[in-house]
Amino acid sequence: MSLKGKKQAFKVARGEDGETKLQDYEITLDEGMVVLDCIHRIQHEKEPDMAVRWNCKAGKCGSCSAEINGRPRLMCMTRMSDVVAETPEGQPIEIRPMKAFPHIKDLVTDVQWNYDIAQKIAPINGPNEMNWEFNQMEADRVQHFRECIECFLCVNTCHVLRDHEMFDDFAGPRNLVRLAQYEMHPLDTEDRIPEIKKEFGIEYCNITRCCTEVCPAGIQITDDAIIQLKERVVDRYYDPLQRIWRTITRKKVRY
Amino acid sequence: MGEGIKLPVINGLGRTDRIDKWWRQPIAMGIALTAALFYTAWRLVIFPDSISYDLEGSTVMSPIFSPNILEWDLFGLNEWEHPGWVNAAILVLWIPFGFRGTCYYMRRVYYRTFFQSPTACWVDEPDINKKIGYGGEKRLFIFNNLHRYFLYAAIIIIAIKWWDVTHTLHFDEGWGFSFGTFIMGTEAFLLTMYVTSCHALRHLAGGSLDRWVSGISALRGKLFKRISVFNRSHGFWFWTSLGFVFLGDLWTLAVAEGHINDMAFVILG
Repeated sequence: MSLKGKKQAFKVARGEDGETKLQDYEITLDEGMVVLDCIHRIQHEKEPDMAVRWNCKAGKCGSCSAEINGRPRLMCMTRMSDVVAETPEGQPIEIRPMKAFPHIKDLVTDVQWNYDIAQKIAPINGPNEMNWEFNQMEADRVQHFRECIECFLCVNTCHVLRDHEMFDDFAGPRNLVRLAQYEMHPLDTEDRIPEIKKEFGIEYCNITRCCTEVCPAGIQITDDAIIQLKERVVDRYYDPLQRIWRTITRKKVRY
Repeated sequence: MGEGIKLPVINGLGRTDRIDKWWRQPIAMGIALTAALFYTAWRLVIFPDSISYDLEGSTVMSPIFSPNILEWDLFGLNEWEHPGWVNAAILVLWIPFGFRGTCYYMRRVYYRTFFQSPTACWVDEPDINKKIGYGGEKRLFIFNNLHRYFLYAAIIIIAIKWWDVTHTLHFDEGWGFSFGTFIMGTEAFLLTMYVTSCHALRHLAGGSLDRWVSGISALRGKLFKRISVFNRSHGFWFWTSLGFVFLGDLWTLAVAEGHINDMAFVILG
């Protein structure tokens, strides 16, 4: 069904300084629009001062994260045909900013916390000799994590942060992916396991997989990053056989 | 942010802006798991009879009661005068229970359905969860870290399951198969896939290494890659293998009680 000429109602969160309300708008749709196009149309036709963060319109910059009909998504990658289909006829499409982060204005939130955590992570420490070769299989594994566009939809989704607000104890899915990327790097010599357990609080994750469900880059956050790191934490702290083996072989590790 | 809509809500539970039918999956999974638990309890405690049937010399064993270690000539188990309430399932079932209970897929299911932590993505948790305070897998659920030890035990069980399947192939008149073979074979296959796609196995096989360069480590890398493929559908194998355990038990029960007849197809006499 063509959407051209269809009149569509929206409710968009507007306001700042803790006073946010859903405001009603109606625009005429065109064929092939995405949600961000509609926001731009509202900006152009009705509200020139509506704040929205966007950049590439191609799902690569990770700027236009918002909650569309209660589901966190990138506005530029969400087709209006899909959103209209999921919204009951006559109901407005609701667009809100990400819930977990401090609100700045309208659809814009402050995601600074993620960068602060990232700064606490020990960077990759390469070997001293100059032979820095590794094979494709090893490269693929960590390359997968580099597809992250830092839209922070996973952080916004994670109930540890969204519902329990444990921003001081838990690093969030995005930074656990970063930790996995460094920790599993074939040439990295740094050991981050004690920090992953204590400082970054990986045990607070109860692997309910919402972060993987929401990732627009298709990264298997839970299976490939978090569970793999959790298993490494088990190796270090909870596996008695490995502990005995380390004692026998006199392998020294940090706890 | 704006209050949620839909569903009559009690405190925080169910508060959301989602407009889709997000409650369907947790409810369906909750019903399935509760039914499985009640059926197992009934079979273990109230009706532990008809656990196997003989068909022209072959034996088809119910998956719940397999391996029937009370028949084994190990540590004098077959001569043990056990109390009436003891049966093979009570002695063995803690292994699959432990394995499934600490499974990385199962954890997602029960945190969502039974602990509402969270009920579904982007749905608020009940206020009691927030009052108690969130401990993740640090406090009560710290035992989940023992998953790999249950894995070791589960691998042994799988081997015995396949051994059980061979018992359905050997008849008085020679070798063949029956409907029981198909059901037990499918069950053993699904359980094997479920165990092979395990996250802990994936880690132990090769995931614990950063480099897969030479000899054994290269082999472990290949193994890691192969298991990763199965691992993507761990949830599918979880549900199908669980379903077939009960299907297999129902089949054995129905045949042993005489409601259905199994047939032997002898090929090699």
